[in-house]
Amino acid sequence: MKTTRWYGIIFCLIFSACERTVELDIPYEGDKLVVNGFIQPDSVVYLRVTRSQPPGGSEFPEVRSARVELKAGAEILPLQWQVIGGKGYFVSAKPAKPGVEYNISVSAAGLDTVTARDTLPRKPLLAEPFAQAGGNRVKFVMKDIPGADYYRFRLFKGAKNGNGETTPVERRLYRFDPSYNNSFTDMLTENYLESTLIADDRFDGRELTIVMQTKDVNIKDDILLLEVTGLTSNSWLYLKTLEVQTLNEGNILIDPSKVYTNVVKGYGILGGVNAARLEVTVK
Amino acid sequence: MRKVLLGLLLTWLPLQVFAWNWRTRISLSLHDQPLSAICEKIEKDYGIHFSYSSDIVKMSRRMSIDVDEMPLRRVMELLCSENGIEFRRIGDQLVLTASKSVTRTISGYVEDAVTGEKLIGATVYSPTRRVGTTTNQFGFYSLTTARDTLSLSVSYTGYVPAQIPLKDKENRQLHIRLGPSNTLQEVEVTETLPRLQEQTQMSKVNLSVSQVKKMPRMLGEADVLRTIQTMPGVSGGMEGTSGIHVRGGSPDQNLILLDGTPVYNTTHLLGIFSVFNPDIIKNVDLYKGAFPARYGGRLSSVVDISMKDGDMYKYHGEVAIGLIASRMMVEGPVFKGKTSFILTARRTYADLILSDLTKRELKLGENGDFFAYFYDANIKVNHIFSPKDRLYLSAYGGEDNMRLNRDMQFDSINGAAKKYHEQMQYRLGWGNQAYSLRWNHIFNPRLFSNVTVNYSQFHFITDYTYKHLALDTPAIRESDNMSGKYLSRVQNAAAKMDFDYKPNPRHAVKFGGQAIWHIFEPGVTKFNSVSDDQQLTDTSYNNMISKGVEMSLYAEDDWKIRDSVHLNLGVHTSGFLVNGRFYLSVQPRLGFRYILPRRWALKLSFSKMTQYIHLLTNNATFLPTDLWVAATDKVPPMYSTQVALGLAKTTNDGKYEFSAEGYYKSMQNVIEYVENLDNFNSATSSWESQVIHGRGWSYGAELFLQKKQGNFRGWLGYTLAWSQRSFPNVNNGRIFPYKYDRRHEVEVVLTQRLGKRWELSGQWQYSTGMPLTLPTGSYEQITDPSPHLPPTTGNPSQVDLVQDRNTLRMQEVHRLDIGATHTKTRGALTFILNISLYNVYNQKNPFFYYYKRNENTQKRELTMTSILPVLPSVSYAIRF
Repeated sequence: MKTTRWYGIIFCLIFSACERTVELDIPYEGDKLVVNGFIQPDSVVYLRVTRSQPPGGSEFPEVRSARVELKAGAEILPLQWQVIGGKGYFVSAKPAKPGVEYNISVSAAGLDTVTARDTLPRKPLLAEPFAQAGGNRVKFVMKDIPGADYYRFRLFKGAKNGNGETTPVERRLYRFDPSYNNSFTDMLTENYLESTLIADDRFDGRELTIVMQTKDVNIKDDILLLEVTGLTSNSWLYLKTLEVQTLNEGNILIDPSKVYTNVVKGYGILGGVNAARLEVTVK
Repeated sequence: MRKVLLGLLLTWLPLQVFAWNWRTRISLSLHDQPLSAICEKIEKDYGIHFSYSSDIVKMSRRMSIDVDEMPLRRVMELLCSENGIEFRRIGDQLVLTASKSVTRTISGYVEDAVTGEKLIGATVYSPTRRVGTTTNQFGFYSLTTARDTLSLSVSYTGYVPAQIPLKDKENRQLHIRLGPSNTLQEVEVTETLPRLQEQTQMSKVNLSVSQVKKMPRMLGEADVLRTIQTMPGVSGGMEGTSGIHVRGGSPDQNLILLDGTPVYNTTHLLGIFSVFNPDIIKNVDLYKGAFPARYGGRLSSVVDISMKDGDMYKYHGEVAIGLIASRMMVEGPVFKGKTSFILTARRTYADLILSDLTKRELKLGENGDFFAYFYDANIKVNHIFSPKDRLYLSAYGGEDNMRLNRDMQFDSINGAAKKYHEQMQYRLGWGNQAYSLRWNHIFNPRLFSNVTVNYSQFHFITDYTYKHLALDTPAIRESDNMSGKYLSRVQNAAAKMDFDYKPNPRHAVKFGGQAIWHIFEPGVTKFNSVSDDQQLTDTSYNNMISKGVEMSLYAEDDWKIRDSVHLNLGVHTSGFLVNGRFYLSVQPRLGFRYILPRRWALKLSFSKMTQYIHLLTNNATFLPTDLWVAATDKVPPMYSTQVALGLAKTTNDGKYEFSAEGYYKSMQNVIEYVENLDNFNSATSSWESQVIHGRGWSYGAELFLQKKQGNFRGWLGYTLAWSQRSFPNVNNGRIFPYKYDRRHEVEVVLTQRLGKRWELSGQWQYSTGMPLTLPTGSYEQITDPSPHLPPTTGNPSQVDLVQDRNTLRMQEVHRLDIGATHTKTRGALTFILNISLYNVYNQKNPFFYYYKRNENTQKRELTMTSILPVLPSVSYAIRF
């Protein structure tokens, strides 16, 4: 045991990283407009307009005075400013509809005018949800349509609202079958996730039975909401590169990576998404 | 009286007419003059009349001569022996005629008298004729010299020089055995090359293994590649790693050969140690440029490592224990004087000591296991069939492995009651294998051949099996049975023939050919998943194998044009056939040497290289997960052109060497990743769209001063370098610094022998900071279409704006390492203790920069990470 302790100390010495705050003169090109919004069919569009900040920033000023024009095809969607959860949004007066291209133009005094566009993807096809009380799995069937598709998987705890609709109230952690996301180490490290991004190149056009292993044991009569979101190429690239950047933060073996943006002369994303939800009652 | 006078006259006249004899002392200093001019000068100064026919005797050859009071015969020997000219006296004339056969060839092997180990680079020299040669990689030499050469001088560092008398005047095979000098030094095979001014080769570094073992050690392990890093022109990459970047090249551009077989991944422990156990190494040559024509296939460097042959006469061994690894070596004769073997092995053992702790911490269960280690092993057998035929069989195998087996029953999961049984096997590993079979044959004293067949592979593998069974059945029915495997592998098998031919003293010719079969498996995945007896997935992904054939022919001639002018002319021609495409490349190689006054050598080289394989990587450093792929139409082979100009000299006493070189290298079709969409898990058919190809340049100057003899030895190296890249879509097409571009590097290595038992060593290095990519801005991120969704469980986050690559610089790096080696011999046993201190003054060198959230201020701050603080280590070896 004594030897073990010495080895522990020696290995800590070798691999322990020493960190200290430093200052480097990093050139900053100035503030730019940042437009963020995912467009979900049959839902109003929530748009955030903020300013970029120098490196290391974590608070981003809203640009409430921005002139925002959002078009669904040729139709201009009226927008109004709303504060939700302490944050200001430009919210469309009408829900988004599939089948048209969405274009946005945002301008503000002293900043470059930015533009972005995207369409809406198709909705994933889900069926046969199953979760057993005392178990820690959620099982369902997904039918993939031939052609390139991009998915985001998430799991929520659901609750009925006043209208009798089930809405997500809490995010649930789970781990995915590595067959689809290559995360072998999830099994080893007991790493549970909040969302999983997967492209369909391994199962294009096939029907799959998918098992998610939840971190928490399922409780009888709980309601789970399984969400699988179809993503456009823009949304996929943004979310995937954002995931890579977030995962690699602080990884000494990886260079910092870029996050995709489709906003011209600015940053952020205007991306189409189409979420399918499946209510799973724990039996 | 008249008779007396007549007698005196008769006696005096011949003395005047024949006023010279063979002992007449000649003093003469002429530089680069035709032989005819030298004779005219002698005639003018000493009244010696020459007679020859210019049609028969070649008098146009230019020579330099600098003699003082040298007997005439000796002067004539110097002038004539190498030029195929015979001289004799007829009356008062010195008659020159063409000789029919004035030379003979002595050839054979130079070996250690005690062990029979062949000595690479030993000098075989005729002092009277001033001609010499060095042994090749197999210890073979061939020296064509004047027929009446009476003796040869043979020398090698660490060995007692020998004078070998030559009794007859015929061609003959002569095997020379040198006795090791009796010093405290380990009886290591170390190389000394001829003086720098006597070699046309430039941009080459030779390492003695004894020097490698004397260097301060990191964690108790002597390391060849870490020693190479201390040479000018070689950069070490990330702090603490043993990768090498030569003259602005990337690690995949290094051809690293172990007994002629390429080794793809040369490091253990993610780059901390090299895979080469110093106990097995006989000789290391590093070529940074001026590549001899026999090498090809990589752009930036060749590291040619030769393994020891094993003792032909006695059994020896060594066991050693270090801080993290133990190693052993045993060698000896299988059939005395005919067949020998050498076997080495090394393994880390921290996992064995920490086994109980890891099993407990990782919840592996009573039947669980945890292993994390690296090992490597080498074996070599060599057999002498006849004085003309030898066979060598070499094998290397090494792996880094992490294995984890869980077999455990749980009563709860995340705090909630639930009984289940989990079985899991997980493995992560990578490693090389390299095998070669070589046959040396001496056709005649002037023609030596080597035939090689070899096989090499590098693989990275990770796999798992996972079984989960709920034990509350039948109430809960849950059973999962999953498995997955990921494999990437590159293999090659080669056959080659090499010839050394020395037709006459002016030419040393090498020629040969090679065929290499490449097999690439860049990231194959296989999965199977069965849940509740239902087959969910059974997939194989990217199960693509691509094969290629690379063929090459080469020839080079080291040509002595004059005493002061040497030319090395060569060409390497290669072709690569892959996926129906064929690439052809003709690569000229040129070396030139001119002797300046005071025996300084001016050297010039030009070489073109082609590389048909690429390494896909998008990490900050090079990792075993990187994928080797073949060139394609979209990502063509890489090409480089390098020129170098330098001055070099070894002092007359052989104590000091000095070289200064300037170089310029351009590279075409080097690759970079486009965007970091994901790591290169698999080189699917789309990998070509994830990389772009562009150009690279590197140029700079290198100074090297070495003291090679005495109790106090060492070297000082300085490198001034620029290394740049340019890609159409990176940094808007602007030229930017390569990620390991360092402007200044200084290396000081010193060793001091103290008495008979102690040897101290110190190494200090300084380099300017490496280029750095950091975010240049930040902005808000979004993950949800609606703000009404429940909040995320993670920390608030943002997007870091990453733009141009490598536009910033890390802080400078410097570090001092010291070591002390104590050697004590008792009877047949030798005890060797090494104590080392890495990073003596605990310099916090930068390894990584990132923005880190300060939990107190909730602000993100630029943070520099340093690893490898002051690290003491001890290793102890017993040799018998």
